[in-house]
Amino acid sequence: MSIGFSLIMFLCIVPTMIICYIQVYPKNWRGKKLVFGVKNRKEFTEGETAEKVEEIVKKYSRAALWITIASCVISLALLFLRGLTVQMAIWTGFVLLAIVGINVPYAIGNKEMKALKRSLGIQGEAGVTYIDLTSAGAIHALKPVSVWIPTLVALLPVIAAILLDLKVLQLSTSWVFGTFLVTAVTGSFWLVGILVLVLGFVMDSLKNEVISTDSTTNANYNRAKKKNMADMFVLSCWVNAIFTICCLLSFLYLYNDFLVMIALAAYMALLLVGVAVYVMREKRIEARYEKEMVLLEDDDDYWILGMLYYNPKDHRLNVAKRVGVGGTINMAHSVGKVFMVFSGLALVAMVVCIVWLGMLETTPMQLRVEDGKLICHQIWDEYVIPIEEVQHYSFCETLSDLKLARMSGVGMETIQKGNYIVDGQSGCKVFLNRAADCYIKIETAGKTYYVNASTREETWNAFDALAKAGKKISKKNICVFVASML
Amino acid sequence: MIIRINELSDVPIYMQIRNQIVMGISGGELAAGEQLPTVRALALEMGINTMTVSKAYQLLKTEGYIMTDRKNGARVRMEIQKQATISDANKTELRRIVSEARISGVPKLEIIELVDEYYGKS
Repeated sequence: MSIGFSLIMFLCIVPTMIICYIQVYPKNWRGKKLVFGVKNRKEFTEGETAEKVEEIVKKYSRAALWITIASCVISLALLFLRGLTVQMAIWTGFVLLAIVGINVPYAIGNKEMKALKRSLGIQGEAGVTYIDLTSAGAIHALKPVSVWIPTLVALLPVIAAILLDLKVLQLSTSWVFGTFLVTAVTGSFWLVGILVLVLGFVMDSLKNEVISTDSTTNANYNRAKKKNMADMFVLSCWVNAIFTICCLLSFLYLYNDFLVMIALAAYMALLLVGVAVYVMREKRIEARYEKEMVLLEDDDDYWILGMLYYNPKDHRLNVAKRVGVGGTINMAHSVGKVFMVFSGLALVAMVVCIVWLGMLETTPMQLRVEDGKLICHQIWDEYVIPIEEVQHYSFCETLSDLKLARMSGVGMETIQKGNYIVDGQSGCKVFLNRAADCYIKIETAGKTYYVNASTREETWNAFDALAKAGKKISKKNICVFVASML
Repeated sequence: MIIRINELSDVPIYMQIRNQIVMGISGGELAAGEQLPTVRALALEMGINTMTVSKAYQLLKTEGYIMTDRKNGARVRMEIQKQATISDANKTELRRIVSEARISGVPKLEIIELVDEYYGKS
């Protein structure tokens, strides 16, 4: 399971870094629209200035290449990490660092190019926009039917999962059905598909670029670019739909953690292949129209570090990215500001989550009897069970025969806490450490608890204390435990 | 037809749109009956308020350059009324341009040549 997580992260980050490097640091800057996010112009290609630009490009492209190589090597090393929480923490930190890292040379290059532009006395055309009246709002390549069909196809397994969970359909006797786990998984992927669909339409309605004084050239250029993007979104929708179907089938016939990880890795790989094809085609389009690009807007000053768009006078929320794939938001737009705040909060939440998971994994789980109460404690008291309310309790030898499905709470590889469906019974309170591989089942009026401590001995000691507190012990279970200890 | 809008210019954006569409019609870049983008599409493309584009279109319609209807959107008029006179506002504008040219020493002939060029081009 844990190698699967690392494998997925590896398959995501390595191609992403390579694609980023190819996209952001092109080899031949002379033929490109932009040099480190600054509009390429004739003055840059003449005499000493050309040498300076060449120097800047070489210097920062080399730095980016080293960062890409280092990221790939580190990713490879991270494959050998053990422990899911450790993997998640280190991978998350590494992904953030790698993404920031690959963009640092670009940002510095952008600053130097802007300084060079100023030193040449080139005045930018901030505030000037070109619009081709012939193609304004008229060029769209994403046919709604081409993305709606896979989205509806992906809805079928979700409906099937709901029917299976409601026991209207009975195709499998697996305990999973009835827990709404399958509905949650297939539904999540379907929602991803909806997100891709919405994003597809947003990207398809981006402003058309004006590169030439000839309207036909502009129309063809924008049509080619939008068609390329539309193809990528259609592919993503289909990959998502197929994966949703595979999810349902695997739950029905072949449920296996390792296979799920392999399928997830294949899913990510296919999506990345789609992005790679998109990037290659995009480069071909740019190369095809290279000589016709005579009319380019110079809005360099609105691009902070050449990548963050901030233009209070622009009413558009989404604009095409200067470099890379897709679009970005105008941070001066009110919705853009809210989006940035949420993005910042999401980053903080990610760090908090990782710290929280680390605390959960490293803090021992304790069971103790105090003042006539059994207390389940980790970080704080999770459950306090008054002993006089306990109707029956038993010590069980192994955790492997318990069928657990989480309703709410924590569901880690090693720790399970919260409300669970246990062996088909919903609303059970669970406080289990998988490493202890034994548990105490406690039944009170209306509630069933499955609890243990960090080790088998501590769990048994708690059970013993519970027995001494005056309750009957299931003798059968004691015999089993004693036999196993001997 | 390509139009160029400068947000930092003293000329209001709706007037810039109006002026450039008029120049497009005069120069033949916009043919009679040619479809113009919808108000919403043009506003979205320019990143400006729809009211600004609407105001430009309204002005062009009032002046008789374009026609609009709910079904077909905005189109260049098939036949633009030829009044064969220069409006007072344009006369004032022309006078300002000529005066500035005269003060800065531009020969009269050069101005006439320019007018010929623009008129001929139109």
